[in-house]
Amino acid sequence: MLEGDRDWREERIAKNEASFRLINERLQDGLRRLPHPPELIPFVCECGSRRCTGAVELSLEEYEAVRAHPDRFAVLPDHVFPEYENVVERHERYVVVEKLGVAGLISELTDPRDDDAVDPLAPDLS
Amino acid sequence: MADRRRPPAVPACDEPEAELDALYCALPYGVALLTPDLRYRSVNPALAKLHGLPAEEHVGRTVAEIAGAETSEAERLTREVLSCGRPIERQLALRPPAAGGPERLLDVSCFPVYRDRHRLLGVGAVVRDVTERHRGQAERDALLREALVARAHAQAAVVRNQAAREESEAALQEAERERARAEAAHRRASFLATVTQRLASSMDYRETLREVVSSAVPYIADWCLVTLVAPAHQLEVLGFAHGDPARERLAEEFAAGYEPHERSTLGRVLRSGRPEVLTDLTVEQLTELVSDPRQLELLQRLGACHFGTWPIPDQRGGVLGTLSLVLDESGRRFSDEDLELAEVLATRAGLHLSNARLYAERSEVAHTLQASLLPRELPSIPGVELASAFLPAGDQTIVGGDFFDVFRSADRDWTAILGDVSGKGARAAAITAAARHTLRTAAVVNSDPAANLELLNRMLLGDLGIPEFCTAVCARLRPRTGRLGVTLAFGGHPPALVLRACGRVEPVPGGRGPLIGMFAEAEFEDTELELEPGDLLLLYTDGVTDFRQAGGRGELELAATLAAQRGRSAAQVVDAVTESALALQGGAPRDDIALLAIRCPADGSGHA
Repeated sequence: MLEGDRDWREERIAKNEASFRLINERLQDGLRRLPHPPELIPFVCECGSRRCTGAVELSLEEYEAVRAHPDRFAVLPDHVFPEYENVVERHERYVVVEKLGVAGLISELTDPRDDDAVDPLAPDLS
Repeated sequence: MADRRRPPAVPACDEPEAELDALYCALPYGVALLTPDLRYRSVNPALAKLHGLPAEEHVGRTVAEIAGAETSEAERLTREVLSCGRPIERQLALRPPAAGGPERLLDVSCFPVYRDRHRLLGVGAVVRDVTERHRGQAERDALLREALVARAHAQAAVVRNQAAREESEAALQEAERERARAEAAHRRASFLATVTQRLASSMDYRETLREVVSSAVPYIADWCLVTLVAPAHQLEVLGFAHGDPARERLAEEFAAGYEPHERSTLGRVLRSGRPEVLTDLTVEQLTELVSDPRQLELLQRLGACHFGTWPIPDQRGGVLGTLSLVLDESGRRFSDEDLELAEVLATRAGLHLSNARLYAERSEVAHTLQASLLPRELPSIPGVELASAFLPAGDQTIVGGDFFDVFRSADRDWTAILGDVSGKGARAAAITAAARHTLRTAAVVNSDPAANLELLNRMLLGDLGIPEFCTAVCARLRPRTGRLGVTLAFGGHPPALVLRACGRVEPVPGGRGPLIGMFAEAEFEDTELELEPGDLLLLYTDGVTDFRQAGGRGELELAATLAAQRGRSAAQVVDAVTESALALQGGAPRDDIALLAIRCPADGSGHA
């Protein structure tokens, strides 16, 4: 793989993951407004694969623990991209990965809990 | 303004208690009044129905007795009201045993009931069954939750689709770029193949380098210039090409006056042997290329924007010249592939140039050496007509082994020799020179051709020390009035032919004989021959008769050609035989061809 291709792919994966995180944030925000939120919520798997349609079941507490770090994402156990991320936690239902390099930078720039966050799908993000 | 009209009069109730009781019974909510010790004093029908017991069966019983063991919460609630003296609302889940059925969800509001504000009558309770409403709410919540989750996953799918589309588009673009790269590589390979073919097509490097320059435009540059370091170290613009016909005249003028100075880019490249590429040329950089004001003006009018100069290397690490490629305002820029291609082009030009110069040097040496092995011109012998031809075969850089000579060997006698040394090149040339000069010397000392060949045989076998052999024919010519006496000796040589004046062709007896330089005991024999007026003696080397197409019929072909030359001069006969031999060999002799015709003129005169 050419270096340019790798950069493009890494950026694409990071933007996907940031988008899934934003979607999950909206989901948890909506669910919190319900009188009885479910114990386990089927969040969108935050992996970078464009073929993944999986759901990661997390409690709101587990979700919050992941979200406390702007460069961490919850993915299904076999949905890790080792060349772009490190596994920092392993659970039965999910794995927490921490982004590296460009992907880490994009993760922080697009952290939805930061007031100055950038839209992960903004064309000029790179 | 407020309506100050009096409301319509409401008739007084005759039976207020009955009216209140009716209201109590009609309430859609359960209502109960508990005594201070928390026993039911009364319940309305709605609560009685909720508990599954008639209203009167509640009276005197505790909450726990009516609502079952699960009512500790309800009981705690009533106690709290009693202790705090304030109303409390709470949602409770109850399954009264008498009512049966599923658990009910109830909104319960308990409050203390006082009479005259101070005397506690008990605890009042309003109970609203919200089971159905709550179930509906729960269903709506579930639907909303599912909708939120579904929307999230749908949004994720949109993101993934978009990513897939972008990836697909990127793959298409990459495939397109790859295709363009492959096409460019193919074009470069074709270009290099064409250039290489042109370089290999000729050893005239001036012509081929001009063609290379032409082919580079406009393929890798808008104009192209080749400058060579001439032997006297001055620079020579060898080739120039411009892709724009409108600017060609300017370009020609520039090329004609291009004299790069020592500190110029070209001078630096010649000294360092490393390429220099100047991009986005400024006026200051243009003055680095040329110093003459007119040249500078021409360069500016030609619109030079990017100027690359590559050394043309020789095979010994030196620099033969430079290849300059220029891009004008066309907007093109040198790509990495262009720079690589220019370097390859310059290297190949250098290889060709080195080879061509080496070839020229070797050709010159070979030509000079070959010329030294043949007489500059044939002598003029009274009463004898002479003509000769020599056609070297193949590579002009290699000296052949054929030789001939005619020289005076006594007061009235002359000697003609013709031979063929095996092999080619420097060794053959050395033997040829030795053979020729040995026979020249021997012929002056000894009038016997056979003895002369024996001397040559001894010399080749021993004295020269070179394991080579040769064939030769040595003829002693004795011109007499109107006739020519000839004594011949053959050393491994094809028989000479005589064309008689009548047109008959006769092989001279004694042809072939032992090879010279092969056998120490070789014996050579003389053959006497008399040429009458009009007769012609033809000496030749086997390049005339030994060739693939001849199939052993070369000598017959030669005889037939000779037979057709009746009455012709020696020169005409030599031309005809040469032409026939070349025709039979496809225009290019396979071996060197040497011919010597000795004719006794029909009228008795003679000239060389």
